[in-house]
Amino acid sequence: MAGTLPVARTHDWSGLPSELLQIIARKLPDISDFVNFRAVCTTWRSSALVSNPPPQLPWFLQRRYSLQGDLSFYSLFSGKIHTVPSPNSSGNWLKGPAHDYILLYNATSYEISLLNPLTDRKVVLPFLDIAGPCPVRIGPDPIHSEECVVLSGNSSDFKTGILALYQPVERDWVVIEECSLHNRDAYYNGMYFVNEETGATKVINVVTRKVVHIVLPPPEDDNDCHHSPRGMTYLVQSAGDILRVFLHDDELLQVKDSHFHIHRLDLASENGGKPCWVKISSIGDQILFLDQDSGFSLSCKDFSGFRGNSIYFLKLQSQDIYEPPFYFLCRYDIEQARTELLACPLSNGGTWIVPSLR
Amino acid sequence: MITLTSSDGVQFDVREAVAKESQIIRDMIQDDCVITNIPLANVNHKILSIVLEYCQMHVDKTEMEVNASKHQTTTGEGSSSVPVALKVSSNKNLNDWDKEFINVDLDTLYDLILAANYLNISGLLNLTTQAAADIIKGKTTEEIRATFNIKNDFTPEEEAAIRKENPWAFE
Repeated sequence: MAGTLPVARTHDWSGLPSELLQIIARKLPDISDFVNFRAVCTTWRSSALVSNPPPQLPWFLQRRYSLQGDLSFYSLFSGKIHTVPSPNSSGNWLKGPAHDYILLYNATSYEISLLNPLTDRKVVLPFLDIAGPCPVRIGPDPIHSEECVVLSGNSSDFKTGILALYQPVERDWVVIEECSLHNRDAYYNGMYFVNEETGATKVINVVTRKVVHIVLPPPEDDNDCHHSPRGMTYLVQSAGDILRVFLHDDELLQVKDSHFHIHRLDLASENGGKPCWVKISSIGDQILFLDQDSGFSLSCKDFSGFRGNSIYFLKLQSQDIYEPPFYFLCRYDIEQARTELLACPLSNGGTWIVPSLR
Repeated sequence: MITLTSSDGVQFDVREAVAKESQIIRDMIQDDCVITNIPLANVNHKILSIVLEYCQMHVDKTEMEVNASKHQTTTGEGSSSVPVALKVSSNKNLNDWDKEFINVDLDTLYDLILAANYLNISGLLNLTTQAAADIIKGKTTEEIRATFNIKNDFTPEEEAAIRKENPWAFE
């Protein structure tokens, strides 16, 4: 449509009332359009505040194999690659998925910090005795909001697992030890959902530090075992539900053959009151974004032209011990149970970040 | 019937249901149920006729759906598949119709946004602002200015500072 439209001749669109310009700015789901909108003129700039950004679709951040250099992002919305210089990320490992700020980990000094890769603003977090920290949840607005930085990892002697929650008011961490080693966990509303190696899910109340439930894996998954090389299990919080998302995939499978099994945690189930997993065939208007370690969920309602009930994920394409792994970025349509390849030129793997200028 | 008078004095006779697509007119009618003539000081006849075309279409489609669902409830479960299919196709058609409807020049789009806001027609405001956002998407700052007839009012220093904040967005 844009190509066929002539330009405005009589009206100067800088004269549109600010509240209407705000409505238009809030319909720009790619941060690069928002930045260009803000650079048009003074009224457009003052109508599109950085503190009130439009809902953003995540960008895919390519994994770096050196700890130096620029960061490369792929925008799902525009299909463009953006290269952003980020001096503050130098020397650090980058970990996501995240909203606004990504986790930086310095394996030499053990410093943990948050970085907005678009503005290069870095916030150093207090010291935390953790090895291999991995985000369970970061953001939105991790600098100020409670429960917005939740990490899992191992104690420095590698004997126990650790869950750590950052408290911005006290500027300190709450640390829960006693968890076994794990990955792709979820955190929601004071509850920590641990993806155990056995396939079971341990539910821990973060305040009392007690194990509230141990939920057995769904019976259908007997063949698709949690630890099998033929797939991975993620726990993801989605619109208030905890989902168990099993990705059936390995490097030998073709794109069209990788698929998902999705279960929803039913805490007060008919199964004699015991929590259990219920198989579901739809996640409604939600879209899941998964990387190799974790995932998050967004509603498609804010993104005109994007369909919900789908999963963006990394399909493992080759895994040679002498070469870095190679991935395809794919989209899985849950209703049609079909995987399609996305035309993303970045193939080293990476993570998701919902970009912001905050 | 209700008579709406545009800012340039042209009268439009429309069904009450059509006029009530506008929240502001709905409120007026509710406050004063004998009202028959409403002057609209901020909308000229050209734009008002386009707005009313939108309202007419949306009222017709909604009424068609209501009739279809009535048909569904009176005929029982056995034949329910026909009205459901009708409803789905009418929704789809309405989206297609909206898309075609909003394919207007930018001066008209500007006036439609103002009219949809003034008359408080949420569907039309959403449609028009989405159309404006869709035109902005993927354009550079210069292209946006040229398209929307906007003069750059930043000083060269301000403009340089803005570009320096997010240089990646201007490449």
